[in-house]
Amino acid sequence: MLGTQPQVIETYVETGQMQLVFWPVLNYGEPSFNATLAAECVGRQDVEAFWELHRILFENQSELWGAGRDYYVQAAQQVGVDGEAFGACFDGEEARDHVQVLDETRQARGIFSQPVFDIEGQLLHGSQSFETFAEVIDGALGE
Amino acid sequence: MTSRRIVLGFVLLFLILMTACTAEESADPTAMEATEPVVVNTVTSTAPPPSPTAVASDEGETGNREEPEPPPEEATVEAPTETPAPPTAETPVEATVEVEAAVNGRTDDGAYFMGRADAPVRMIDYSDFM
Repeated sequence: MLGTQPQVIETYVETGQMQLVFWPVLNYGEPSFNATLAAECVGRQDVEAFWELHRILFENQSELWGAGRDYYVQAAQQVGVDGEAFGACFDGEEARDHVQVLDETRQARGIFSQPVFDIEGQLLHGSQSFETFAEVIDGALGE
Repeated sequence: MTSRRIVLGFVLLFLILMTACTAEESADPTAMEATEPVVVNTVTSTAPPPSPTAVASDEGETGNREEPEPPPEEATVEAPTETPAPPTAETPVEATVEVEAAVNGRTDDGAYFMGRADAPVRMIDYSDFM
């Protein structure tokens, strides 16, 4: 969603009209899992840092295919969280199990492709223009 | 002869009386001849007594316009314009925002969200970082 996300956030989230939930999808095996796990462990220390890492990861998707633990430890420190604590989380079982549960939940909801946007029950498949998002969001707002 | 003396006596008596009356008049110069009643004009004011001048107001002056208004006892003092005190270390500055700042957090399921939890619309972004 990165392309239109800033505009959607500025128009609807920052104005209090919409809440945006990120639900991870693990469609590409270990690279998808490691990236999601890194974001999870960053968010456990600082929720604001989660969204900062979220932005960085989407801007550097091409680097994530070969990214390992060290890459994500450096990325975590870049957004301001404690590297040692991040490493412990990244290596532990609790966060890994949680990421797995989230992925299983989205499958149970019938979400198999990505991105998919669920706006109050109305699904949009694939990347969308801001105008498309606005039309659906405005409709949900009753405008 | 005797009648002449009587007449002279009467004349003499008349003259004496006239002389006496004249002397009394000269002794009391303020005395007025009560020829007609004297009317003394007393000036009485029919206008109401001047009311005390009220404190000056924006609605206009009050009281007697013909007489200069005495200075009000209580001067009208405009409330000083309240200016916010400069922030100090002891004075917390409350930021005024029209919209509650977006609050980021986690849903009950553990997913991360951005924005108000009570926002009227919720959008779930199912995405892969890859």
